[in-house]
Amino acid sequence: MPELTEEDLEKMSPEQIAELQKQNCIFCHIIEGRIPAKKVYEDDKCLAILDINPASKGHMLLVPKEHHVVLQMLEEETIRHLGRITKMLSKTAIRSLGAEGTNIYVASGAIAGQKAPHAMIHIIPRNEHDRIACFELPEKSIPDSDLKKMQQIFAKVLGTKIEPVAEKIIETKSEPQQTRQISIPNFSSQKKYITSEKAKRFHVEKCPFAEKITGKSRIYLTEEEARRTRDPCSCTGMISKKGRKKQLEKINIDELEEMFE
Amino acid sequence: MNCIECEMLRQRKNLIYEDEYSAAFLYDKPAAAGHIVVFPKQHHPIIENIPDDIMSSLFLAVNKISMTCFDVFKAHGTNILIRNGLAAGQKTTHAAIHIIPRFENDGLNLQWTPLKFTDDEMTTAELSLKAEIEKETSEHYKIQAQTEKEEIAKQERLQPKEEIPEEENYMLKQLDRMP
Repeated sequence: MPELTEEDLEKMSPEQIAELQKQNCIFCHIIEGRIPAKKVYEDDKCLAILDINPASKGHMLLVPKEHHVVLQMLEEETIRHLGRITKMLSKTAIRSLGAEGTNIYVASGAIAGQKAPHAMIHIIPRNEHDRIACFELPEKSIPDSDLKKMQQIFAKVLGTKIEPVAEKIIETKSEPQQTRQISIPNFSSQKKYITSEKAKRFHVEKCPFAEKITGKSRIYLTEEEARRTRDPCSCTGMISKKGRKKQLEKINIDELEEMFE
Repeated sequence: MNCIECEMLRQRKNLIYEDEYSAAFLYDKPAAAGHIVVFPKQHHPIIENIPDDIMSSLFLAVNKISMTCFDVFKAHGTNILIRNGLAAGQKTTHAAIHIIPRFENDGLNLQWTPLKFTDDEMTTAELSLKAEIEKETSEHYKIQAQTEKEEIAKQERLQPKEEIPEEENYMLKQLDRMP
């Protein structure tokens, strides 16, 4: 390919520049099949391949077929589609690779760690002892006044109405909740939680972990039985008794991991 | 239920965006200025539990908000991160998406150290993922086809019902005509 000067670039139309970017994009070559890659999923809008510099086994890249430098440039319909596919890929990673969780990660811009000029979503299967620490974000404190300033700016741009935070409303709202608890039928006698003999946690039916338990080892428990003998999985939305006390003070991942062991 | 995100939604403190399915808040323990969490209004503990239509509208909201990070903060980049499950660093019982505006020399590093796998290991991972994805997508289409069938059946059931009142009216009219 002949080398281009800046003058040439200035003369080019936006369409021509996009075409040029496409010609130099590795991922566009992969999509067109000119560079081999380990493809795991493909449809008319996107393609999922295995990353060649993976953070863990089964690290996937979900790439839209249209060439865009960052995800923010994509059309609405494509974004919606990518949302559905990302969820599906994350689910299959948990089921087929025995992962205990996933990180879904997008970097837009070189400063944010983007390596190639093609929008993509990383899906990274995780296990408890995999020593991947880069997604542990630092937790800094920020004054309330700064948050308020930022809130006003964002709300203005996004067209959100800000209502003043009224403490009293919260108090009155908590009362009907108590009465509502009485009207809810008592589900605790239903055997709706799933576990196996050896498992330390219990799950709801839809949880991907529960779907792994099949055959004779599948045990159904009532809420009472389950809570007494096992710890809840995060799918149940419950926090174990040990964790509830701790949660009030400060959330620490080590403690959360401990309570599920 | 003891859920921090549901409580945030009720208090509406630091709310910056809201639509039918999702809400976005400024995070009170930020990794950088303008750190935002977006989550579905319905309580779902992990991503797998979120229905498809809510998931796609959530992605749309995240995209819209991360775009404003460039406009509002003049950020040089953004990171979008989901921590799905305890092993992946999830800290609350409500699935959420983090948006972090990035600047030069902000001290953040979300880059992993790449691992080296043998060709065999990569191929086994590829094949097992492929098999599961094929199963999942075919199941998905089966369910889709089933719901479509059910809807058609529903409409068929509804249509004759609409005709019944007309018949009744006809009968009533006949009754009226009787001397």
